[in-house]
Amino acid sequence: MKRMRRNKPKHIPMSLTSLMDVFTNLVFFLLLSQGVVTVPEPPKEIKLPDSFTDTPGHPSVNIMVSNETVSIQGDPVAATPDVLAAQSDLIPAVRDRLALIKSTAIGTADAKDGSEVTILANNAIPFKVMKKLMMTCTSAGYNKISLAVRENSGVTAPPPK
Amino acid sequence: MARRKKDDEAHDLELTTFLNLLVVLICFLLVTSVFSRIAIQELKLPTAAGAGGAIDTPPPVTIEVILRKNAVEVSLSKDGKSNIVASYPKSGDKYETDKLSDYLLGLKGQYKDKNDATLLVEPDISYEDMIHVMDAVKMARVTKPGSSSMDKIPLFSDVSVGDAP
Repeated sequence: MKRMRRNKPKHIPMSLTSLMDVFTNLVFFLLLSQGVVTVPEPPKEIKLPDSFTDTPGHPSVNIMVSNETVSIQGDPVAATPDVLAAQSDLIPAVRDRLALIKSTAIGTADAKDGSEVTILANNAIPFKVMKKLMMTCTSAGYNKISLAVRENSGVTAPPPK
Repeated sequence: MARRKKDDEAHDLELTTFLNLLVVLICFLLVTSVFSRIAIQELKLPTAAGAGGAIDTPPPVTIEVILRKNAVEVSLSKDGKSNIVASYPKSGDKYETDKLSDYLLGLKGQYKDKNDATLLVEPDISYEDMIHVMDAVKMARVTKPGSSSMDKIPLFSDVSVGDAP
């Protein structure tokens, strides 16, 4: 009996190998799934529509359109109701801001393709507003317009609203 | 010598520091990770400055999808004449995007080389509906018999947007 006790190791070493495997896998998964953020995550008040497209976003100038404000690169430039009510298709505040960004980024912009802009708009924004913003973008020299959507896996239909 | 060997076997790998590192890294990545990915719908817009450039010969046929407040219509322009070839009234709150895709799939079969379509939208249509119809124009999702997953068939991938007449 005494000998058996003596032979017993003082502490049982924890078997960490499987835990390590899990951790390592998790780290790789998270690192890969994070990827490179090209389009910033919109704030909570902007709910992007679901879509089945899987085109990844490019880094570009972003315009966020919530029900209250239109912000470019994070800075609010106009109120959405004002854009909705505007008579003209060109929104001067938005245009000036885009022109400013274009002029400061002239060294990096690809001259052939023109500049890109990504519009992140809330679900409920009417086409009127979108059209005015798109017209403003093209008139400010941004020829490639992308609309941001939330990627749907493609197996299920978009949830009815 | 024999004793030395026994000692070596008993040694564990010193994993504590590595584990700490992994735990911190996992916490950091979990906090910063975004689980819903943002994709984009690219629009193909006629360039405003392109008027002076070379003008292509007009395409033999133009496909227009008109998104109205209570229906979605498909209009086919050929030889300068345009006529509405299909119209799907809105059912409840949603547009009939599946039927639209089916019809456009047939059109794609007729005009295999055609890749562009125009989406004409009425002013009060919400962005969400516009995106859903744009999805239907860009690709058809077909369920194969016997399989539960959907196949994506590309339709008219170059969509431009305009005002509904």
